[in-house]
Amino acid sequence: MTADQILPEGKNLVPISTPPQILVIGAGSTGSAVAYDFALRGLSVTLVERGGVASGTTGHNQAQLHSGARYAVIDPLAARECIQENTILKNICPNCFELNGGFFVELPETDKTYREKFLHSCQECHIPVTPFSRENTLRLEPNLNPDTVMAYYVPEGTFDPYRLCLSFLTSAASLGAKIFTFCEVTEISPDLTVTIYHRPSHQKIEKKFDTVVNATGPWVNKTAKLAGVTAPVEPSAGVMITLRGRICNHVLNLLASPDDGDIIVPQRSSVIIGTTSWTVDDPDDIQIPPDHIEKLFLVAEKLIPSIRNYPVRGIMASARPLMRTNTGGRSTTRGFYCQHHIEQGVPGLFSVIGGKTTTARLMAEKTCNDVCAYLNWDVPCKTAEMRLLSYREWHRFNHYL
Amino acid sequence: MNIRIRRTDHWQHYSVNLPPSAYILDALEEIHRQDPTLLFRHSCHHGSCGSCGVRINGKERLACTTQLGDVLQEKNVIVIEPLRNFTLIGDLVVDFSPMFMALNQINLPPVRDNGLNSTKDYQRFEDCIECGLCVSACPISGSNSRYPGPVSLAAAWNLINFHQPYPDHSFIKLIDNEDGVWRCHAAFECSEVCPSGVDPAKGIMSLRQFILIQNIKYRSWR
Repeated sequence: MTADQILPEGKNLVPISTPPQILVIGAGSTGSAVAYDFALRGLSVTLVERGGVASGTTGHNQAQLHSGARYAVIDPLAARECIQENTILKNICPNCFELNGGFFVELPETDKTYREKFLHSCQECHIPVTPFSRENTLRLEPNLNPDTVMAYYVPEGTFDPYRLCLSFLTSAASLGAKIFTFCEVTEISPDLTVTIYHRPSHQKIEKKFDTVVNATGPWVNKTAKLAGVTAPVEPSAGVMITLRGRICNHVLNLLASPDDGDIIVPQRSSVIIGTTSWTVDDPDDIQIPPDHIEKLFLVAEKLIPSIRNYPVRGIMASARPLMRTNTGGRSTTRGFYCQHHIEQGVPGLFSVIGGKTTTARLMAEKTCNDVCAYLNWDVPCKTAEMRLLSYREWHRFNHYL
Repeated sequence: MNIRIRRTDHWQHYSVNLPPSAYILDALEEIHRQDPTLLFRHSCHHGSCGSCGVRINGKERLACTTQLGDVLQEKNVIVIEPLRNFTLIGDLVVDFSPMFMALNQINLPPVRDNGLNSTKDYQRFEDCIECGLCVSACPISGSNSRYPGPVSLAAAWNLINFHQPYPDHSFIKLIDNEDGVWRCHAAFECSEVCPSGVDPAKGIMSLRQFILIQNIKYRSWR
């Protein structure tokens, strides 16, 4: 509830303080979670998105609810964040997940030293791992490679990214946030006067905000450039293939150092194989390299030998918003941080760099903490305890097309 | 190839250079690069979110899982229109509010427990992706605004089938009336266009059978 609602107009009460006006750009998982977090803290939020809800990276996503086990060896910080958020999201938004669990599959050629490192790192990161014998695993996953030696069960699952974003947005809107889809930001001046182009009516409006949060994922640098500043993001594209048929019941990961095509995620009556990884300049222009499809099948075949027998339902690609570091590629961190562009001459403009959908709520919490500190708005984050509204309630608040 | 799109108040031709294996959604994204004013909804690009339903050559389909080669007509033309039986917002985007309101009344949980003999819980999403294709294809939804639509009636049957074998009276009253389950006149267009294998028509027929038997067994229901 905003202070405006607590103190109705004309009641001759002195407001304690008027909530600052905040603009959030982007209705992917980050932007939706940020808008919800601000709304819960009583700030006045407007969110704009140039397309529909989750029409960027969040939508085209392998839909894996991570346990963090995949990152435990190479990026323990990201792994800890994943397992913590995994537990919180299941509690606050139960309708957006298939909580199937996931297996890390050990094959005869698996590097034994990597297995030991994997188990040790998972323990360090507090990720519960249960070993499953070959027989028990094959009973649950009849299509799995019969050469499987062992499998390790972790609390993973599948999410529906579109519904997750709608749940965050619905909850934000119920607290007074204004959500505008098909509205593109075309200019940001240094005093945070923002020009917004309403695509259905071809009208442009200008409005001044106290703070602007740029949550546009891999587009974060493109958006920052509108204000004449830069943000260090490295759009890293990945290809995914969706096959018809519920070929596996649980999320299947290859027990090896993260590589192309080593995850198979079941969702409804299909499975998604992913992903490859290469750096692109423009997230709006991703051309799928034809050899990547074969690459994905080659690795996925190790997990499910019959995988080529199933019909392809769709092939897609999207860009991850990785933080730019010197190393590049897969070793680039899955972490995130919030950049305040004050040193570049635009105080009040914040960009969220990096991150992944599993940790979207945490990214929002940290971003909003930074923004609230800047605005002297002393209200703590409550998103970890409050249950989100159902995505089906969206229509009640979706008046701002 | 040529693509003819029904814009809000006119028809517009576009030309795209894509292989027949590309999807309609790839073509829409390509057109969007040529003409940023085109409005369309999309999210998952693999037939799971249900946001990109359109009519392609007059038939309801998901743009993201339909390949250009499958729908190419003579003279290399593909016609794309928005879904019917919903209020148009602009170009290819329609307002799904009435569908979600009806689904909210039925209140089918979106996630179902599976009966797999597992030591751990194993769940799956309901097959229905709530894309609205069946509502667009349904002749009754086009002529009777009180009809809940195939999507909601199929949800009601799934609720009884998987969650509530003995539903309460108030729930049955929602659908056991002349504008409800009995209004369907068995065109079966809904099952024809469903991209997710839900078979709403079978759900509606099973629902009729279930309600009929209940009404014979317990006359006091009505």
